[in-house]
Amino acid sequence: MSIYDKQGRYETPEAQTLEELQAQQEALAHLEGNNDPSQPYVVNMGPQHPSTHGVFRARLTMNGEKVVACENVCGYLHRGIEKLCEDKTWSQVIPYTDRLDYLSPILNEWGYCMAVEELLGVEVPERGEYVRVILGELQRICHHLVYLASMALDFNGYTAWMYMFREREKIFDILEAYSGSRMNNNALRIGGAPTPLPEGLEAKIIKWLDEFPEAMRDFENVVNGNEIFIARAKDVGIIDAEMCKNYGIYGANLRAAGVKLDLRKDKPYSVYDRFDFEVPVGKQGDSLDRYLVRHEEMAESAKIIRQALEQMPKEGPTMGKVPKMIKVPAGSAYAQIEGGMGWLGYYVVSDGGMKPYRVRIHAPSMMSVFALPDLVAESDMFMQDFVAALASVDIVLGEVDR
Amino acid sequence: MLKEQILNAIPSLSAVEDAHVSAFAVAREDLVPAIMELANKCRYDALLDLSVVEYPEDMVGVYNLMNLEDMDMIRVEVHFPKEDLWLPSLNDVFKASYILEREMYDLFGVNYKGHPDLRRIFLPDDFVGHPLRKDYENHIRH
Amino acid sequence: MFGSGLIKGLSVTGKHWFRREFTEQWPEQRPDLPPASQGFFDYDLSKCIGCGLCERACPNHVIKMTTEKNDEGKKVVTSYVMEVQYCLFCGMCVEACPPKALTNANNFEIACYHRENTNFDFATGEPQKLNEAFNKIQADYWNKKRPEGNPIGMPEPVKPPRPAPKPKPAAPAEGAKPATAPAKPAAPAEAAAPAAKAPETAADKEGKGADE
Repeated sequence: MSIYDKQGRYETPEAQTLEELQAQQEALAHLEGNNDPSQPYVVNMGPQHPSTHGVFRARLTMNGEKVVACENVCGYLHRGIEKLCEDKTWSQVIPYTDRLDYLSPILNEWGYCMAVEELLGVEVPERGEYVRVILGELQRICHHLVYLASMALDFNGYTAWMYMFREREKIFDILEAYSGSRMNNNALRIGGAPTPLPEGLEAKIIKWLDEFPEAMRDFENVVNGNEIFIARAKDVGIIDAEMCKNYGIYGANLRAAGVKLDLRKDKPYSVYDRFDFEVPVGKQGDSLDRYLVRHEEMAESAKIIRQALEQMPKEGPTMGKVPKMIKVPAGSAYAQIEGGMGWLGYYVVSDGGMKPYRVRIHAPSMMSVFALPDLVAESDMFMQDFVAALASVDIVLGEVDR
Repeated sequence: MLKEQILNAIPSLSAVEDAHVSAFAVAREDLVPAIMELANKCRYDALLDLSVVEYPEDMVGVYNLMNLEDMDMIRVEVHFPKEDLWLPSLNDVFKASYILEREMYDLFGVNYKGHPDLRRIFLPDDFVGHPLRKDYENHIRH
Repeated sequence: MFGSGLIKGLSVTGKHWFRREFTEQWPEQRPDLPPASQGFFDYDLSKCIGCGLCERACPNHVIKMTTEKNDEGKKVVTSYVMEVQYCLFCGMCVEACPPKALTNANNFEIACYHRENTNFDFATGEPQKLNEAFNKIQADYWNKKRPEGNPIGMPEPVKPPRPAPKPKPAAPAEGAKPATAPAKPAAPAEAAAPAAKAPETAADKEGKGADE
């Protein structure tokens, strides 16, 4: 039994029985006579780990300090959301879609609501769209803040993490005033948003928007210029544009590789064609580019929120004409939105009843995380480079595992 | 590209009625060549999603593809019987299908012929059953 | 260039060292909850008509209600049990209730030690007492800090505009101190809030104009 596969990479399947384990050790015994004192060793970057962004397991084959091969084992957070959705009515599914990418729940709800509204043929009124844009962009900032904070934390920057989570607390106050919950807010409905922004909330959002640029300058000063951070993130984990397209990775990771592709600009949904914002693009697709692209995207989201608050109509309904008990005609639809990590897609199939027949959720972070084994095999990675690469391809386990 | 242009370019596709996107059906044997031609000739080279839906009479494999120049989305369906659960693997065309097909095998039990490493991804390796099939009971609390 | 990034970072930390701290020391400092905040539930037995819409709206089958017909033939609710350990706190039940008998309460302090204690029977009136105790603590705390009242729980209290510079102690500009609305984060504050906000902003501008 050879431990080398056809391309000459180390192949280490998990031993299921004692005989297999002994056979594996015998196969490695041929290294003992060499001058090479080290042999490849399989280490679990196990499900409980502060740097894996959730319960995610990576079986790393290491030769000394270098990571030679990587195998992803996910499924520790699998809750069967797709199966659960088949038992609930159309609007009862929305709290479940919240819990996919739990850092930006409103964006997930938006995707699902868009898919069902396409099947129903309901048009969301303008005011409802603006409310969705404001809440969605606030959640995108929340998501990017956790991304930046966790990446800084993986490089041992505890202070940066604390500053970014403090900004998140301020956003939570705004969302709590609208929907009642800080996280997993069941804030959108099929047909629009349930209520307009309550009294005084606009002033609160504008006050927060005025303070946000100073906070962003703080983040820049603490993290972006830090020599240790740049040394650990530059030229590490390069995922170029061709690899991205091959693996189905879109969103900020593709933009960091130099391709200017953003669903909000190129295939605008909702009212995104009325806003004036830019799409930041990186150069070569290393970890530093991925970090900086998302840092800039937060500033663009703040611009969009300001414009949306100015343009939002002051009166009018926020919900379209939707019956209380929704019955969707038979058919299927695919809706995709620019989520925090990529193109979140919902394929919804209806058989004409009160419950969905099939809800298929396409999770972009699953595609990102499965580019890691080939990334490790192609480049020369140390252990700390692997941590940097894993932190920079944004993954949230709620979405990977559903 | 318009639906008629695609139908003319690739004869193995047949049209499917759909009010929202251009949808096509293809036979199981012609799936991989059709998708390769869609990717090369018609530039639908972005695989957005790969999934399986179970209907009462048969199963359907659904492939959502996108053209990144016009930002146009199409859907390709493959019908196959429940007694003969296999589909050809798209691993040579799109590397993205490596994980998606593992997930479909895990949840539905569809065998993808030509896949290098078809095993369960979400559920434990010794799990019995395929949960997303309609005859697998949902454990509901009442 | 060498080390300048580190020095910039340390200067930011130093600046924040001298600023007011952001963390709240709970339970000595109470959080400033907006009226819409959802912690627990408030149930009014006299308003409930026993329609069961909340039971059907819940995604997780948390609410279990039993009713019976009394002597006049009307529906009377005998028990209303919520198994809060399964609750998603999504608020679909509150939205579905037609007479608004089930409402949000701001009480988030409902943790307990044993799993059996997570089943609350609202028809007895015991869980509502927890909400009342919580609201009292919040009102006592915030009444001391913020006697003028404040809509939507803004982080900084809205200061009344400075009175116009006159020698005699004249009354400040109109509408500066709304006489109502202690900071009790319940429904009455919502009704007072829109009324209090409009004269405040007008008076704000007036006060600023007088100063310049």
